[in-house]
Amino acid sequence: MGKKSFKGDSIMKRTFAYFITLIIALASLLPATAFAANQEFEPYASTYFTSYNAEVISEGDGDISIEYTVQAKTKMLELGASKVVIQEKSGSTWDDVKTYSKSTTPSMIAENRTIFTKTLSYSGDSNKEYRAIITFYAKNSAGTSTRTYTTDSITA
Amino acid sequence: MPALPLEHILPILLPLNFDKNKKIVYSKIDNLFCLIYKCKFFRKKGGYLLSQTNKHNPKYTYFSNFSTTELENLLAADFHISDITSLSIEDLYIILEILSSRKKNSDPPNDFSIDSGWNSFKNDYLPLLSEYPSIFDLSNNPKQPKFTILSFRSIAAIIISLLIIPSMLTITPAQNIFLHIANWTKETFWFSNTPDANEYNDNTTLNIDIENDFNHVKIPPNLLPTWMPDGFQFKYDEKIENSGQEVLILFFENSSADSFISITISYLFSDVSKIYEKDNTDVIIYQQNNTDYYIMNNIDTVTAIWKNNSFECQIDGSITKEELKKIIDSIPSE
Repeated sequence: MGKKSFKGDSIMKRTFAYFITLIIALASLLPATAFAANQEFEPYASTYFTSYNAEVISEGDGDISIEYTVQAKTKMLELGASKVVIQEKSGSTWDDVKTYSKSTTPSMIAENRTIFTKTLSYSGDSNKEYRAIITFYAKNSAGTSTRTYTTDSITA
Repeated sequence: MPALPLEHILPILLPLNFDKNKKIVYSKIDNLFCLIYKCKFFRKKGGYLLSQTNKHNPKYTYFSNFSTTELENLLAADFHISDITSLSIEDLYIILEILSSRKKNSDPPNDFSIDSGWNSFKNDYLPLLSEYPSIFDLSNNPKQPKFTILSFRSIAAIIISLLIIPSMLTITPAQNIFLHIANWTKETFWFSNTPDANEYNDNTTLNIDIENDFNHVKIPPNLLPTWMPDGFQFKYDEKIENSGQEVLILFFENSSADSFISITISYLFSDVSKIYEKDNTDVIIYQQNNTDYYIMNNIDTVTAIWKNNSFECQIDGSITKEELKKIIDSIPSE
C-alpha cells in the first residue's frame, strides 16, 4: 500500500513536471505572438513593397507627429500612404480622432519614387494616449497595392 | 522541518546496514552526511535543526501508519534507489522523527553515544565519498543502465529546448547577443533592438557622394558589395531622411534581362523598427565576415537583410540566391 502510494506520488510529480514544462514552452512563444498581434501584419507578401515603418512621436503639450516611411521594390508611379487614422484611447477602446487621406492631403503620396517618407501633425491632449493606423499605398503600371500598419501607442 | 537531535538520528540510520560494496548506496551518503552534519552542527550550537515539529504535517500522519520495520525498510530502500523520485529530505526527516519518537518510547534514554556514532560515520562511510560517485553524479553507477540516467523527462526537456530555443532566439554566433534580434513570421521580417543596441548620434549623417560607380559611394566600405552579376548597371539613387533614419537606395538594372538589384543602406538615429515583406518560405542565415545575413524570398525577389552597428542594410533583387550570396561574399570585411 505504501509503495503504491509512493508510485502514485511519483507519477503525480512527473505529470506535474511535464505540465510545467509544457506551460513554459507555450509561454516562451507568447512574446513573438504578442508582438505580431500588436503590429497587425497582413498575411501576404508583396510584389510592390519592400519595407515600411511608422511611429507616433510626442512633441510635447499634447502635440504629436506621425512619421512614416515606405519603400517599394522599384520606382512606383505613386508611393506613400492613402490613409492615416489617428486614434485616441478612451478607457479600453480606441476612438478615431483624425483621418488624413490622399484625396484631402495629396502630400501623403509622391510620384515616381522608390522610397518615401512623410510626417503628419496633430494637436491632441496632454497625457492622452494616441496611435495611428497607416494604410501604405503603392501604384505602378500593373495596379495598386496597400498595407495596413498600426503603430505603437504613445502618451502625448 | 523537524526538530531532530543527532542522538536520535544516528541510532536509526547507522544500523540500517548499507551495502558498502554498492556504489549507489554511498552516493546516497551525500544526503546522509548532510543530514547528520547539519544536525551535529546545530547540536554543537546548542540547539536543534529547526524548532518546529512535523506532527501536524499530513505526511507525518501518513507515515505514522507504517510499522517501524516498514519505515526502516523504506529508508533502506531509499538509499538503494537512484531515481530522483525517491524520498525527499522532508520525507526522510518525517520518517526519522517518527522512528525517533517510537525509539524514545521503547528504548532506555541515552543508550547511544553521539561521539561514537559520529566517529563510526566518519570512519566507515565518509571516506567512501571520495572513492565513489556523488549523488549528483550517478552516470557511473553500474547497476543503472545509462539510458535511465537520461530519463524521459530529461530527454523531453532537451527536445523541447532544441525545438523552442531556435524559434525564440535567432541569435547566431556571428551576432552580439546584446544587440539585435532578428524576428520573422511567414509574411514579415524585422529586427528588434535592445535599448542599448545602437549609440545613435543625431549629428551623424552619411557622407554620400555618388559618382558613376557604386564603389565610390562614401559610406563604410564594409556595407557595400564590390561585385554584381553581369549586365547590371547603376541606374539611379534615392535618399530620404526623417527624425529616425537616413536612407540611401542604390538601384541597378539589367535591362536585357529585365531584372534589378537594389541596395538599401539605412542609418538609424533612433530605434526604428522596419517591417520587411517576405513570403512564407524559410529564412536562411548566411554568415560572412562575422555578419549574419538573413536571406528570404518576397514572391518575385530575393532579399538579404543585415545589421551593422547603426546601419540596417538590404539587398533586394530579381536574381537567384546563389547570385545574392556571391554579392554578399564580395562585401569587404571590416
